[in-house]
Amino acid sequence: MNKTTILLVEDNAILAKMLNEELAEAGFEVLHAYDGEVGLRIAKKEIPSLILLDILLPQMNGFDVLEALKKTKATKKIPVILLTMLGSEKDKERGFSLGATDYIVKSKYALKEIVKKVKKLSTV
Amino acid sequence: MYVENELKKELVAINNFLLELVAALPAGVIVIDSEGSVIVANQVALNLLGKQEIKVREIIDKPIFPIITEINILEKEIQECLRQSRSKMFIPELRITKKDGDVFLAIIGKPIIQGMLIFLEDITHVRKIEEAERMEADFISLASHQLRTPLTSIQWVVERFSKKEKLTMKGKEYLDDINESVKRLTEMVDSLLNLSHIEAGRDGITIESVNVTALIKSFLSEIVPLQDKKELKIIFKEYPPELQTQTDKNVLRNIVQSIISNAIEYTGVGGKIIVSLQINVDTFILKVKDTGIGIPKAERLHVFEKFMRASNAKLYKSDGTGIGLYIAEQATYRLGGKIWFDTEENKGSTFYVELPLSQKLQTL
Repeated sequence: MNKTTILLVEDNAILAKMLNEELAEAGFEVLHAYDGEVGLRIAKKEIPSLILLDILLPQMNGFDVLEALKKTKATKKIPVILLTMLGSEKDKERGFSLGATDYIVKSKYALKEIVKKVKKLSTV
Repeated sequence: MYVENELKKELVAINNFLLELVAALPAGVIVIDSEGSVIVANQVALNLLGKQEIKVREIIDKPIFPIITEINILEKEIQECLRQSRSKMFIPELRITKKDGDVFLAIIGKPIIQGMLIFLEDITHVRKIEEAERMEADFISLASHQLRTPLTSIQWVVERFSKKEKLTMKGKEYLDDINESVKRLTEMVDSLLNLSHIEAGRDGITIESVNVTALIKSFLSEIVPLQDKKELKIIFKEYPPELQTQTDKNVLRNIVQSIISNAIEYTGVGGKIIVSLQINVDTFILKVKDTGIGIPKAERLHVFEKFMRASNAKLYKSDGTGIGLYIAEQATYRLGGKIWFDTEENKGSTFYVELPLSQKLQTL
């Protein structure tokens, strides 16, 4: 059976590793990018089922990546969960206005709760 | 003839008195006629404009524009005022570069009969204090933000470790202790971040339509894990189905979060917190009532002070930042509201926040 592919765009190595392991154990295939530009390139090439996108990224920040994804025909329907340390209402609103499906403040979520959300949104 | 001479003497005396008065003023003054020629000025004005080498007597009856030719905005503003296309001139901040350091001026100009009065005030000291406060707030914001990442890393590694490794009872206990400490640190960092946002965001109010009922419900849904952990009954009752207000959503959320988090923090296991919302004529009141430890009588006046923790709070819980209620108060004032409380030690407290339904900005 084909695994559901998740693209994780996260520049922090430890956070990425933990998410990667947790998602892989939950049965997902995980692609990983450390910066926004590479993340966008992989998204356009691989068309994952869901994208977990950090905001504060090198090269290209998450908001710009999200905007570019939503402007591209091939990627605009992919659900994007913004996964970030930025917790203000303004950042949340900006994320949703750009087309994010969900917004998670990393410091407030356990790994298993994030995987639950990914499972729910990647099957919709 | 005699009367004429006496009148002339009188006029000269009055004129000299006015010139002395202007010369003695601590702020800069320049009076020009409708053509822009200087009628009266003081040395303070010239010094503030960076023209300390020019003496006042050298500019009387001379046009002002050659003196201020490199200060484009001032020249433009004065000309527009003289042409009477404005009823007054106000430059809230003009930066003048001088050899011994930049100076910031606030300049007001008022057309008068056949001319204009220009008033210059040195506000450099005010700008320096604001700059220092901004830098301090930026530092706290950056530090808090940078601290969140490694704290989250520890949290997630502990979660994976608990899941993957075979642990003894003692091992599980140690990991729970680590998790607990990390959560506490994360809460402290969040508080510091909120504090820096409140203290730095003096001009940063964004007014928009906000559904207060929905905002409170959203916050209460986020704290369900914490509520369950302490077996608290948190009830949101007596609220309008939809309370729309014009306000800053982030600042309002800060208030809701600070007040309710404070209630949770100081209410024991199995306790009760009731949140309610009521509309008055042109305000609304958020009320948060808890069955917590209350506040000792002698300390009630200090409750909203920064880093203040009541003596019973310190006994109840040894750690805590003491900035939650300070943030609530500052945020409330920023939105033009009032905050107050009732309390009884060992019985509980009720905090009230009253805010306008429609914002008139509170500038500090």
